[in-house]
Amino acid sequence: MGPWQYLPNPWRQALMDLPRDRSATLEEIRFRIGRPVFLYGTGWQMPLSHPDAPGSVSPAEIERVIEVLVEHSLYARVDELRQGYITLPGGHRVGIAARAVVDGRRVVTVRQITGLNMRIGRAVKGPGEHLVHLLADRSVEDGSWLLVSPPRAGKTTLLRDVVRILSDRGRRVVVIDERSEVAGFGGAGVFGHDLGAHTDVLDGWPKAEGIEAAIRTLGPDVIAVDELGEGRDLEAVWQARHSGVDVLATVHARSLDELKARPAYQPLLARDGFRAAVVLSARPVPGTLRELWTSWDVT
Amino acid sequence: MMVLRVMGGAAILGATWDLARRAARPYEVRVRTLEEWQRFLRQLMPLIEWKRMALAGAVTEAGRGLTYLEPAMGRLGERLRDRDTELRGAWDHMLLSLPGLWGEDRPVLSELGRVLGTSDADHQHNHLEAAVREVDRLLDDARRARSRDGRMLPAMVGAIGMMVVILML
Repeated sequence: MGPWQYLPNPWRQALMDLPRDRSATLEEIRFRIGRPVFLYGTGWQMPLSHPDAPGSVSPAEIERVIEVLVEHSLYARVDELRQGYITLPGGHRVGIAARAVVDGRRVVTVRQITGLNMRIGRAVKGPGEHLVHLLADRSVEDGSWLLVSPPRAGKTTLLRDVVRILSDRGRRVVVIDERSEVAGFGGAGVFGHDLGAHTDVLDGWPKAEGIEAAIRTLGPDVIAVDELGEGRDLEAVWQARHSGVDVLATVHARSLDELKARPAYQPLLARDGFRAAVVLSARPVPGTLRELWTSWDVT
Repeated sequence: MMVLRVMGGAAILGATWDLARRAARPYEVRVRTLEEWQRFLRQLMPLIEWKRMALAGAVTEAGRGLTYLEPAMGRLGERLRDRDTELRGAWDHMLLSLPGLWGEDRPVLSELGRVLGTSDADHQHNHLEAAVREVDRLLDDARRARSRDGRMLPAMVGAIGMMVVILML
């Protein structure tokens, strides 16, 4: 189900009336106060035009859209809002441009929302097979791989597919899905994406706590984490690796050199924290493999 | 002749009893409805604060087992699942459909509909606490009105009926 199903009218209807070739390649829907709603697809962009939809977005309209997206239950989504997004069932993420209310160094909440960016989460089956075969050819068959790319280059989509493949091969995979984006959690037992037969999902868990809980209680062969940070996240990755668990993760970076320049990641790459790193590019299409590094390359 | 008079007297007594019951009913229903609101709000609190349940499910769940509120909250929950529903309008519509509320009760409950779901759990707790206090106050008023007017009216109606019967006989 597309994320427009969660919008109120007239936006929902306007998006449902898009030509099929547009809706099939639609990647982002952007609401900005005082501007037309803009659609971004693979290789195209255009304003949303529909007889029932206003030409530009008013502050009241953006408030209404948010109210509907959170199902009139802001209290249930404040933790996500603090981090600047909300996730819809199906793993679609809505980024929020707003003014932060800060207490000390902590964002307490956001107000005066000026923009929304709905990113469509799609399960694409296939690209993971290519990667798994490629790494098998290089004798890196465990799952301790790092998928590296800038935003919108297909990291999460590839992670999802690799999780499904490893899981369907019988490996016990636990996905730490802090933002409900990988599995597309939509309520108890309802997931937007197929992650394979042997996958458990820790939905909404912070990464470090999720990794620790997974090791302690779920006996995983592989732990999958999206958008790894530094500090406690990396300590938890080491803990998993020392416990004999493979870690499949994604991280934001433009290249391997950029990643290797980060002091926190140097030991992980140098000492088998990850046995392979794959750099993806958004061009010509998201998910394009640009660089491949394996731990064999170190020796 | 006497038989007719006795039958007429019995009919008058029956009618005055029914009239007295009808006169007392608004007081009784108001008390029962506000008692249900009290229970509803206390059940809603943990669903919002602790379970962080979406409002549509929370109002339905909190309304379970309450004679007047269960159907109204069930309908409200259904309406909120429709993404084109405006919460404030749907809430006020639900209040209008409830029996037993008096003019002074509706603004208090309507105000709750304006703040429900619009802030984090701590603020929701404060709003719900405030609503419970207001409903407690309304319930005290309603109970006082029931014991004062709600019992006096039936007594007066009953006494008038009895007098008519005595005069008739």
